[in-house]
Amino acid sequence: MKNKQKNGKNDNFSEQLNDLRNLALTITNDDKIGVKYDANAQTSFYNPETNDITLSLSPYPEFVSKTERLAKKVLDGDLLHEALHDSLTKPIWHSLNNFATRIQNKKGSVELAKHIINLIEDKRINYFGEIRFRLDLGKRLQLANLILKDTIETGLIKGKTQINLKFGEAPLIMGVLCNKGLYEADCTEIFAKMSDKAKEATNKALEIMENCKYMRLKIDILKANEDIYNLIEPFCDKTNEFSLKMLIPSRRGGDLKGQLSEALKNALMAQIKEEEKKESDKKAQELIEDLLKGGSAGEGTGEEIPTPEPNFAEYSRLVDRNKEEITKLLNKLKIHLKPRFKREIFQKRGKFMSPLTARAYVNSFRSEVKNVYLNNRVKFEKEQVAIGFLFDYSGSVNRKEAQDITTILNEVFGNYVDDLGFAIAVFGENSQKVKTFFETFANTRARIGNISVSASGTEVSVNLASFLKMLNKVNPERHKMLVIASDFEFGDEDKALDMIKLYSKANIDMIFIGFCNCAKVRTFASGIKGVIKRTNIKSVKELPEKFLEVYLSIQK
Amino acid sequence: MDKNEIVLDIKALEAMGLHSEAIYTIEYDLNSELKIHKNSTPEEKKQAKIMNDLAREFRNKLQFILKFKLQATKHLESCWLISESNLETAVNDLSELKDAMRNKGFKDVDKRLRIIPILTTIEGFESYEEKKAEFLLSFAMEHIKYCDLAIKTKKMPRGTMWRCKEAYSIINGLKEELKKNKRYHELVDTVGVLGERISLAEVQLKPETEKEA
Repeated sequence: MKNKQKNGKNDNFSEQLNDLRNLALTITNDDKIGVKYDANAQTSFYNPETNDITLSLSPYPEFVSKTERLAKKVLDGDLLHEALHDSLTKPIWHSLNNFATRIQNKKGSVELAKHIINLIEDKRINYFGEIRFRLDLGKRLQLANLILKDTIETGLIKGKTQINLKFGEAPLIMGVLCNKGLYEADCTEIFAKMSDKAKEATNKALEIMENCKYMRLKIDILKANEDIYNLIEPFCDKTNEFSLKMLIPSRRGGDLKGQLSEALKNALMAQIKEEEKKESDKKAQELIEDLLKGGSAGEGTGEEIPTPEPNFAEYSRLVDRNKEEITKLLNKLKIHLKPRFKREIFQKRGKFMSPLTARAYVNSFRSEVKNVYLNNRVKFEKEQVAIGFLFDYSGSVNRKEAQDITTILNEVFGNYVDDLGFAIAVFGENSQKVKTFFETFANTRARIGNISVSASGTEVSVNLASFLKMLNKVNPERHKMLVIASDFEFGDEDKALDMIKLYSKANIDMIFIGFCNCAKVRTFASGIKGVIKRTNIKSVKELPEKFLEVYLSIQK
Repeated sequence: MDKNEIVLDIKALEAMGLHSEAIYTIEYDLNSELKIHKNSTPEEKKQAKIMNDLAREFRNKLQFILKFKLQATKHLESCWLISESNLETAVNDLSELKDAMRNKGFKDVDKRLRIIPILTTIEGFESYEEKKAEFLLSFAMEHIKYCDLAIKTKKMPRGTMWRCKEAYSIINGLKEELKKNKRYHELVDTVGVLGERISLAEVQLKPETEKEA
């Protein structure tokens, strides 16, 4: 896929961006908001000048970006956070900018002021996001923060994160404010390296930060910014402002980036697996409901290969080869049909229409005269059935025999019932529909000459699902039946049995025809309630007799 | 003072190119608590303490009236906005408060507590609305904080719960006046959160009340 790299890392969430933009719109109610994904951005951010949210997974551990389900959740959390900047930060953006400018004018540390502004805004936003959207997006924001907390602690506890005192204590204080203040991460390792004065300032700043989450008055927020700035400024080395980022996570624009602990990785994977199971159960339940309703009947499921192209030459060869059996079966079925006489005039053959003699004679001087005959025909009332045929084309079955049986039953039922009356599909490793209930026999009959399912498997459940939908869509007054001709050695037996249970629920009778005298036809689906008739054939020659026997018994 | 003495003539305002709605502010400069000098006599100290208690009591009472009875919104530290519909109640309540203060010996009460109508331009009016929205947001957050504490400690005085619910209904009512304001959506969200937090706090508190019963 275009959006995925070979290693499975999802590098571009463009297909999800529309959904994310809609989410951002819901959160902010600002129709000018824009959302983009930039894999190369250092972190996700919001630009109040352009109203754009840029999302990125780069500040998170590789495990997150490689696990697509997790990555999507984290992105949702980040989106909530950035979108709330539009609601909560944008109205006071100019005042915050002025605060930073004022610090600059006083020759203070602008970088420190900016980090503090970010910190307080993030604190306000995380708190509000988590409680405002506590049942949905808030949880995703919590998840993103939990991942960051874990990476911070893993780095600090394992000693992978260097705690450097070279640039004064301000980077350490900022590290604690960010990691403890925002993520409640354990910062004992950082505290241990601080002087008592720095510890005291940090604790005071943490207290102010905690209160900030309830602040909405501009004046209060600015005061909190100023108070925290005044607390940290004495520890700041203004010549090395870049060092302030040292212990700030890269998600918040700092340099700290780490890996997840094995414990959290395992917990997340377990959670993902559980979610996937729940989703697949839900999907299965929906499928059952859909199948029983017959929704989108006859449509491709995406699991089938395309219908074969008609091959008239091959089909007529197949019909010639099985002419005897076709005639035999058709004649036997006709006995059970009510004949109906039909008088057709202006035909090419038949009895001459005497009242037209004079006119036909005159017209014959100008051009050739055709269609002047009367034809009396006997037609049989078409059976009011809906019968689905599934033929096994797997390797364990003789392909020639399978083709012969398909041809015989296609030709017989094409003439014996109306177009809505029967459908044919074949299966092997994959599945292929030859005729649906909603197509005409004339257009589909020659498709049998080109059946192309692979013989290296026996997967019947796709066809069973598709036929159940179709049969449920057909007029309920018709007698519904499903015929499976196979050796009943299915690769997806469990799924097939589940489907067959649904057939009995939907009142569809079943006929199982065993190829090559196979024994399994007698035992397959034996525990399932419903009308199931079984027969076994040694060769195609036996088909007319044996099929008719079970077919007529089921009709009674 | 009569309400009609305060209400302005809208037509006259429009003719002057001003915003047609007048803004009514309650401005106060109540007596502060005074420092009690060490050299004062015991009688003076006692008297000063009584006056300080009274000053605190009147200040608190005024805050309560402003927030919960007059549904006023804080504009500046001692300047609150009230809507015209609450003017009559404001006149009555403030008169009662002034009388009570006078009876307790406070002087120049009329000068210390006043209702002032303000004429402003359209931009000026919008700026008042900005402040109003900001105050309502802050008012909601203040009560969300009380609810958070109640959820955490499973304790909340009945009066605080009453205030939370009252704040919720006041903000809910006033927010409709700010429909055109940029922060309306934020306000709707925040008041929604307050409502939720109140319900959560109530759920947390319920078992205790049931146990007591």
